[in-house]
Amino acid sequence: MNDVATPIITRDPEAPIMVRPTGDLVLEARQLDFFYGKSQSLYGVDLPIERNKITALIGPSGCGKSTLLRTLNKIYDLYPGQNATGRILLDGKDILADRASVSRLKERDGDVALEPANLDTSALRARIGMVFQKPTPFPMSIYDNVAFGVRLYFKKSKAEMDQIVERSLRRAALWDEVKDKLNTSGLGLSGGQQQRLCVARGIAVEPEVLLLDEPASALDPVSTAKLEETLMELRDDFSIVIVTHNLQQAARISDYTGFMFLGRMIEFRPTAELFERPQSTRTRDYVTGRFG
Amino acid sequence: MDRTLRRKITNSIFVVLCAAATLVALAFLVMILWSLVAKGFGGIDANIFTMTQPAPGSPGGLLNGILGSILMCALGMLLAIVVGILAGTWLAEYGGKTAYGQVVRFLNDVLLSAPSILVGLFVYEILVKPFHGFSGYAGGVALGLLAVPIVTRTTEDMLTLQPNTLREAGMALGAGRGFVIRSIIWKAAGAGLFTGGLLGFARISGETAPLLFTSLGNQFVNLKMSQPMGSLPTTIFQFALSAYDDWQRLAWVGALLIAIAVLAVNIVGRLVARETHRP
Repeated sequence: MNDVATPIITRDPEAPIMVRPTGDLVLEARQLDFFYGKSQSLYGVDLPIERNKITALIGPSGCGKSTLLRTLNKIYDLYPGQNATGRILLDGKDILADRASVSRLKERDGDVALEPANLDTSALRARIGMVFQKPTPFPMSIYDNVAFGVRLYFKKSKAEMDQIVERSLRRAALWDEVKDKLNTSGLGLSGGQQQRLCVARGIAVEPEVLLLDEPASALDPVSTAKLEETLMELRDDFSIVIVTHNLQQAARISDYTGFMFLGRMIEFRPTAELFERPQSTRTRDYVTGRFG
Repeated sequence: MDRTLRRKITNSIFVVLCAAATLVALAFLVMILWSLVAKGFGGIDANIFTMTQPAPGSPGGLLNGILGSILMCALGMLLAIVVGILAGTWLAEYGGKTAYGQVVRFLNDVLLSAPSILVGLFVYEILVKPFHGFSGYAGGVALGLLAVPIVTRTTEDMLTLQPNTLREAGMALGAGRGFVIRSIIWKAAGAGLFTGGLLGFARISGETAPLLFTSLGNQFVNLKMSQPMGSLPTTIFQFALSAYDDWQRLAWVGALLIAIAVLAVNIVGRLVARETHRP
């Protein structure tokens, strides 16, 4: 946990209670608004992601957790009509490059000279991996599933690729279960194994950040425990953002937790603080199970 | 009467009705297959596959028709698979929701039920008349035009069935949209796309009307697609209407051969699809 973090004092009672991490930020959303067509679903959300930590997003259904996650790797780009404004910084460089919100942010944050990252969307997604709610193994062998992303960017020899596949599967704690059937279809695995296969596929390209959208909601308790264990170990190499409906899960594995409600960030603090001494009444009501 | 009993009786009545409906449908299928086998099977001998169609009274086979049918169906399916899969993919993945996409889908549905004789006349106008001659190419194109809407429709349906999360997962790894479609979505929908091809083949393998105006027919073996070409359906048409017993027998054999071909392609297709999609 982060002991030296200092809260930002604000006079506005509606303003989010933000305790910013003091460590190095790998990814950061600033004043993020999101629109599905004309309806707005995120309102000025700030989200700092510290490097090599697990950040959890909690909140009732429809509060914008998944939307926020989907904005971070710009997967919403796929759908015409969906639009984000504000800033998303990857290693300090703006990946949203949204001119309109620059002046608004300058007013608030002062003149922070931010250079655009000039990453195309594909390169961005290679650096920010994502695992979805339902396991999404591709209709190909376990080996090819893991190699899929790597082949997009690198020409690797068979031996190098074998190494990458083995290493990724080991890190995702799946190697022992599949090492003898790498050439069989990924669709034949159990739900929990499929989800860990998706994690292996996501980390095979060595992204900086791994986004997980309720990765355990379709899994049984045993598979969930395994996945959580995997994530705790992956923290050493990756920065992880996880959306979860499971409060115990957030409390168990995360270093920071953000509580969202109706498209706004209500409270963001080190996890222990948020669960033990929530400042906002809404956070308190939610984590004590009074609503949501 | 108590409720459980009433439910049981209703259930039984509907089970019987469903079974009866199935039996009626199956009965006609069996009758068709039975008459095909009964009248056609006896006529199958080596001559069928080695000799061309005979003059009445002399020995002969269906070689000219078999080869012509294979060549023209192959050309037709090539056309249908290339155009149909591309068009279906466009409808499902790119432009299906645009106004232009709606028009394309509507026209495709119209083509799906277009009378085949009109397709034959259309190809006659654009490929036979301008080039002053019937040809295997024209026949293949006419067959292709009939199969394109079937393949297009099935492709669109099958691709639409694939969950969006699969596309998102591919793109979340940094793959482009086209690459995701080619390497993931087509593969996931593989068995469905294959079925579309089979449906198309089944439709065109017995088509006669469009061939009458385009490939015409040829009583000799001809492998040049620029020349008039024989085919099983046109041979059946000609022989079945004739007054000669041996020609009529050959017509039955031809009909049986088409049925066997469709059945065989179906079975092989299913096996291949199952093999490649085994989890």
